Amino acid sequence: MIIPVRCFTCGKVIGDKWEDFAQRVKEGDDAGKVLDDLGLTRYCCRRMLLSHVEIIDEIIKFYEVGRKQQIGPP
Amino acid sequence: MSEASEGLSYECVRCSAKVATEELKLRGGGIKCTFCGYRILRKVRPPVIKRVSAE
Amino acid sequence: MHPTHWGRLCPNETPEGSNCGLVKNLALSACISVAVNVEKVRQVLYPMGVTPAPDSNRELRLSGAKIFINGSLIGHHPYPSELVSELRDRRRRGEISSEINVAHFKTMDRREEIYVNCDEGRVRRPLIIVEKGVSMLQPEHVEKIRSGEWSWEDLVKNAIIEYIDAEEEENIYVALNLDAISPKHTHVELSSYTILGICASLIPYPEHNQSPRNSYEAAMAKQALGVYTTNFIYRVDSRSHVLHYPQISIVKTKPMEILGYNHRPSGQNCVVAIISFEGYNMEDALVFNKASIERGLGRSTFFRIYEAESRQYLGGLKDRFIIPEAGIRGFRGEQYYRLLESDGIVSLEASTVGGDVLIGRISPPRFLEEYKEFEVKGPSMRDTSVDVRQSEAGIVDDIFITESNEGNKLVKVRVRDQRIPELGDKFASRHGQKGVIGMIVPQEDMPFAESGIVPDIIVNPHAIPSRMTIGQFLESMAGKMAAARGRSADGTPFVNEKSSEIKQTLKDYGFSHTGREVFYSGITGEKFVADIFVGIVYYQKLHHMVSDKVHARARGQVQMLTRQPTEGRARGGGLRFGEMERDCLIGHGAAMLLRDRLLEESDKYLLYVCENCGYIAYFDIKRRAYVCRICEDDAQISPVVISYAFKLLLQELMSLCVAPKLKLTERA
Repeated sequence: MIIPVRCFTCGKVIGDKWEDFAQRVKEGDDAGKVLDDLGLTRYCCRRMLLSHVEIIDEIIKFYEVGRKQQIGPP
Repeated sequence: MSEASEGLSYECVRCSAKVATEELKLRGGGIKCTFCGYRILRKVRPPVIKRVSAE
Repeated sequence: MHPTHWGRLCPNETPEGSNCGLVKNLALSACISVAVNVEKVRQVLYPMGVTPAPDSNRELRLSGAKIFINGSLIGHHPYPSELVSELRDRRRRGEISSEINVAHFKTMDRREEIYVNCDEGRVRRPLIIVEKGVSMLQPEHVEKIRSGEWSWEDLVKNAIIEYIDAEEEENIYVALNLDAISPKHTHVELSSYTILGICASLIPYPEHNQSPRNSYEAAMAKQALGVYTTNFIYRVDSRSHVLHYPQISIVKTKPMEILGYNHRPSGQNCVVAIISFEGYNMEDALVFNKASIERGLGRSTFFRIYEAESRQYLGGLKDRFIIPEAGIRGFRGEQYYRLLESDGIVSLEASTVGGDVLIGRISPPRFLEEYKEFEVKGPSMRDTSVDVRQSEAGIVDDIFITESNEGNKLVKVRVRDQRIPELGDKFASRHGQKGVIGMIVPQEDMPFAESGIVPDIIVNPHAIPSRMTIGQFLESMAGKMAAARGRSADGTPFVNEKSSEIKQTLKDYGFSHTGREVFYSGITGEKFVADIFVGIVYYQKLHHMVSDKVHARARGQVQMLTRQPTEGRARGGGLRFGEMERDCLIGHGAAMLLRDRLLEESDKYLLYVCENCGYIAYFDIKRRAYVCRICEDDAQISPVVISYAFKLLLQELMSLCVAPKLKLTERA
């Protein structure tokens, strides 16, 4: 849903690396290389970023619906 | 239909406007948003602090 | 299975048990035909030289071919082969509907027959047309599709692809892939993996698994938790589950992209090691890493909707949403209403437990009409509040108040419960390897590798030999390779990354080509003599969780009719001690225990029987004694211990005008 803070398996902090990773991969960099650059050597940490889906970006739109369309007093 | 409730208000699901119970009764008791007429309301979370344990 | 199922019905996706083979699933590329007007087809055929049946002379009927439309004979034609190829050409050119299929049957001794089908309900599949040994699909067409200039319909319109039904398939020769095309072939398969249906297409390397294992996974994929839709906070589904951290499987299949599975995945990639661990993963149980669970592996949330409507009855009476007062009939006890706010509805984010009232409601008594007859005022309002299910607990997530169709106030409360994986929760890989958590082990006790890799899940090696699910091994190695190189692996059936490639890539990244790694025991610290097979496998959390099933009863509610314990966990029921269980106790000779189970713990009943006539005696209030109406003074009443169900049987027989008499003898 949203990037977990730590790798499930080993506990290394990965939450701070998602934005970077997603941005660079979107721009076309090779994911393997980005993972190496971010310092994720073990495959347990690598799969956390590689297989993550930020579904929260889609879900959060439903929370924003009310806020944007506010007609009555807040 | 609903008893006299003090201080309780509901929120319209569509336009997020707050509707108080008194107003509801005024408009014939039917469930209806006073601003946009939408017929689904949500209850509003009470301003109580809740302790959540991290697990 | 029948050869025509190829490409039309999934060979693996069918339920186990009573519905096996009856409930089928459509293959990915299959499509159902839509009806075409029969008259139009006739008007096409007659000008082409088909003599209508009544007009055919004897000679034509003997030598010519019979022409059928949708199974009905319409006429004869002297040159069937030409007719068939002309019809097919016209279809390819678009002059007649592409929904029409033509089949030509010729046997040595019988005359030829042509079947033209244009009815609805035929299962058809698309194939690429091959002319004179050359596929009609050329690279420039592929380019047009890729660029978006052409769509699927354009391929059909330009006679590159056509839809073939089961009957026409008898006349064609299909090559399996582009390399296999010879001059004799008439068509070539689009992709062989489209013979599978939706669920079976999610399995990586399925051609390496024993077939029934793929069928089991096809059924379990439907039980896996994920994010079923992104607007779940607005939805009021009576029960729903949401997985907290779904991940896309790193060993993917091509159909997954098309199905959209990668937008709403239903599982997580786990580091899976295959060893026996302390005996806690025997018989398909799984050992989980405690720390992984604490960091979010396998966490999900369960939502349930409770609803109440305040109805209006005849005579102006109506229900009310209110906190019921102590005097009301059916009042549960003050503590159960503690969470209700002044409108009779629980407050948001309140922590609830089984039995707590969510919506306080009082209703007028039922059957008020009958009381009016006697001019007695019926009992007052009774409590009909909605409470949390006995065995469940949760936090109130959201409350919706609206109006029903009849204009009554309708309240829906959604309660959420976080389900952290615990002993007894069911998980499965995508190869029919299901199992329940047997133990949750702290990370420090887990076997570890020098790199710091520790398994999330430990699977017992005994789960493999009899099941022959080699697909899981391949997925494991492919998963490790994919994570190492930073790119997903392709596990699509028949066109996947071959094991030799996987082995080579593993070696390139410094892993053993066997998929094994050197591990040390977490408990003793010693190196394991054998290297342990470890990799990344996609595991799914299935919705069978122990907290939904655990149930106990010492004594409780009984049914009105049979006076036996109620059935079902929701009603606090007992577990049936069935006929076969009874047989076991008989086999042991445990007579007292049997009596215990069937009488004392169930429906023991003392029945008064008249020894004289053998019928049931009844208690006369005035005379304060048991009397037998039939025998009056001759009556000798004795009590007998029987089950209430037996007494019920006696009375049911009596209602059929059969007279069951009981012959009593003194207890020996």
